[in-house]
Amino acid sequence: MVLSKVVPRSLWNFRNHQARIHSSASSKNDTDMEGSLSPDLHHDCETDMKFEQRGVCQKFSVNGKRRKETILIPGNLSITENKYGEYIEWKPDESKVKNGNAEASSSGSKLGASGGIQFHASKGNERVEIKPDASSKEFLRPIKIELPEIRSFIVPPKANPREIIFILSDGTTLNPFIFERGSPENLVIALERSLRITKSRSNSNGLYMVGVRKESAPTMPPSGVLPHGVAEILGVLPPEHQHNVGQLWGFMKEMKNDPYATACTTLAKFGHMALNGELPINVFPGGSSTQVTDSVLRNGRLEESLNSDANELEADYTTNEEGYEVIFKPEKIGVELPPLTYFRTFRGQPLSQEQWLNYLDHEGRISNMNEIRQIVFYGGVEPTIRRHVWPILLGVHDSKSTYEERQCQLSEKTCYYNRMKMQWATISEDQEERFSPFRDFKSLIEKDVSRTDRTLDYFKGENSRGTDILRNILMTYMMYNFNLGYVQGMSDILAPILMETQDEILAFWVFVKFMDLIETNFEMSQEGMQRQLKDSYTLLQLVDPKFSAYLEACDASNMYFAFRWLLIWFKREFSFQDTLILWEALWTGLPGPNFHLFVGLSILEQHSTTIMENKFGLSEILRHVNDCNENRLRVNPHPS
Amino acid sequence: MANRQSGGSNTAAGGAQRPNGAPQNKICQFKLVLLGESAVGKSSLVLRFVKGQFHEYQESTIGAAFLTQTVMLDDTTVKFEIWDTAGQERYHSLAPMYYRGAQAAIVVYDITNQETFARAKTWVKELQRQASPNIVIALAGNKSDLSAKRMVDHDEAYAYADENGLLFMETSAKTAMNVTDIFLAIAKKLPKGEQAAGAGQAQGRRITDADSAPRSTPNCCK
Repeated sequence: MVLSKVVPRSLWNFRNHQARIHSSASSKNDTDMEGSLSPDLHHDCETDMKFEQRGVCQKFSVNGKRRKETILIPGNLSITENKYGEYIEWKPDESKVKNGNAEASSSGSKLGASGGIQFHASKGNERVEIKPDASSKEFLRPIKIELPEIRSFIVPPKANPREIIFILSDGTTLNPFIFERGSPENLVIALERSLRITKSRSNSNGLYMVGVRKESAPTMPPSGVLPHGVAEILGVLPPEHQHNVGQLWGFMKEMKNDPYATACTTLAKFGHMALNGELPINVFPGGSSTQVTDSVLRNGRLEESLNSDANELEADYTTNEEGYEVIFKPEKIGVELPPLTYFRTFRGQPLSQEQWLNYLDHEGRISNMNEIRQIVFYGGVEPTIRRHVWPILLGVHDSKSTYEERQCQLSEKTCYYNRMKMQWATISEDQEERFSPFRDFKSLIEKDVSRTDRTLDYFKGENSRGTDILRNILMTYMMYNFNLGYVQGMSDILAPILMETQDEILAFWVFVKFMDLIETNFEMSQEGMQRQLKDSYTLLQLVDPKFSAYLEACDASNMYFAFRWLLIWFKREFSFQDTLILWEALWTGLPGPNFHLFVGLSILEQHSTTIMENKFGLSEILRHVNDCNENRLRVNPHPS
Repeated sequence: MANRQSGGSNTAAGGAQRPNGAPQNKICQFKLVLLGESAVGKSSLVLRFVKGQFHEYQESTIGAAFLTQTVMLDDTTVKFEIWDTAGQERYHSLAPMYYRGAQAAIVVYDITNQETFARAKTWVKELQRQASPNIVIALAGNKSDLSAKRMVDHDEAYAYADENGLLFMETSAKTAMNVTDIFLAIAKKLPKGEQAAGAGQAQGRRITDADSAPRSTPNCCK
């Protein structure tokens, strides 16, 4: 630990730095405004360095060509104090960054001792040079947070913890900080001098709550004696209670001992168990054991199954301000989920070309589609055969069709596609002026195509080929289904399919079939979305009454924070490749048509403790949920 | 759910609880919503204001996004809770949920697109009719860096804003022009003092102790 008095060369505050912009922008505002905008503009303000740790990397996740890549930016973490308050600061290590060295390592988690910006691709061992361009600037952005803004932090429980993730009071989750040497121990000790740190009440996920100390800062404990909380974080003491996780969804939390652990892998097992009646959910006392889950999975309507038992439930239905129903007395449902033994599930192997060919008879008919669905559900499809498997999975072609029939259908579909494409391509500007619905859709498509996944190579650059095809398909789909036309979100649905197939006509027909599944998401009435959000909440009431009550108390029971998840099936939350794996599983229709609601719930459930113990309200929940996107979610975090 | 906002659970970033005894400070918190046609630059304005960044190909907003930013005005810390919404007409039905209880709104249009200005006017009308009566509305003519392609006359927009009692600025999220200024102008116009207590919904909330459950009652600043 370093205690010294420094005047930093440049103070930076990520919240208030636009004050500098202000100074250069023309303004008729008061001249004193600039100085009062941020305490940090007082460059001459004396700063005490209360703690400093070198070799702390900030971890970024970026979309690589095919998969997620982790970028670690070496830097220094410190706690500083000036007359305005105390701050935690992270700055990139300029000496290392200036060299511009970047290193790719084959190991996803090991940190190289050498300096430079480190690319940790999970594959390959090549050295990559980072040029200080616009995108790298983003990685080099310093961070400065006022200490009281920290609401909690997570030290993922491992034998040798090296990572710390801060959550702020507005729901922001910062990128993880990785300690190249040592652990977050000293940092936490230093924080404890100013902040009250307590262990999360249901601490199975390394969550620690932070409060403001009202008394003066305590003196350091005698050397060798760790404050209780710190000792626990570091695993020096055994956790107070590694209690048996009783509830159905408890096992998800156990899985979350690793914060990157998968939602769908686990749920795949759950869905399977539910379908096979292996899960003794006693939903209604004296009722059939898997009534609700089964009903949702098989019939697709949770609400119906609940309504069918309305007398027994005595649930009060009331109408809220949005004009749709909410169930008012969740406790009357009387759900008692039995203890469940903890187990761990693993993803299966993806459907291989060899397997696929084995399922085809000499004319190309598929012998056992159910088995294929099972394999795809548990393991996905090898990328090389996706273009063959997807059309069958989604019903572009019937599984009983022969090679010849499929070939024939394909040429028909090609003609059909080209005909529809000609329809829009031949509408003149003059016609457009008198065809406002067409014009509006076209304008929206143009706007969205130019901002869909532009960071990916396939869609990069002005008028990239990928962007052109994306536009062609969306315009053609508008002609195919003019009632729906184009709705925002559809470009997100198409982009991964197109990028994977790189075939305009195939991608169109796969997209058409996918849209058939989710068309109600995009309808004007939004009824489809409201129904799914409502069903998600009802389901949450069953599996986690405490959390659902919490959401209700902060007016979040409409679940609108999950809108994006459900609208485009988690496409913005996962990487491209993981999105495809997830979609393939969902396209199988196993274990039932509403499985995506379970996926959403399991993601939510992983954050329930964080949300409740941070006392997040409606807005912070939305912020938190929007933040727990691709940086934090993996379909299969530990590929075997 | 009208006024049951959540931000009350935020930590006091300044004021009496500061451990090092820094000077006390008034802290006000306001809910601000961004509305406007698709792709006019709502998210880009927020991103510029909150993070100082600009992405040429900012992806479309699905559902809504929530961000916060704090500015200092004299002795007052003004904390904006910013709700950024999806622009497409299709998602219009979600909007009331986001502007309900908002003390401020920025209605954005694109100066290179006349239709977005027409849409902005309908948003203003809707807010005047259905949002909190004391809501502070600002009109932002964004993409002012593209003045070569201008389709909406500055003076026309200014006159419209004037008639309707709106703050008005032409902004550019790309060059940062007037971005901070428009938020600051809103902050200045929002009621912050004790004299405004009891003014109802257009009143910011004073932030208090961090250790209680999500609050449900809007309060005034001290």
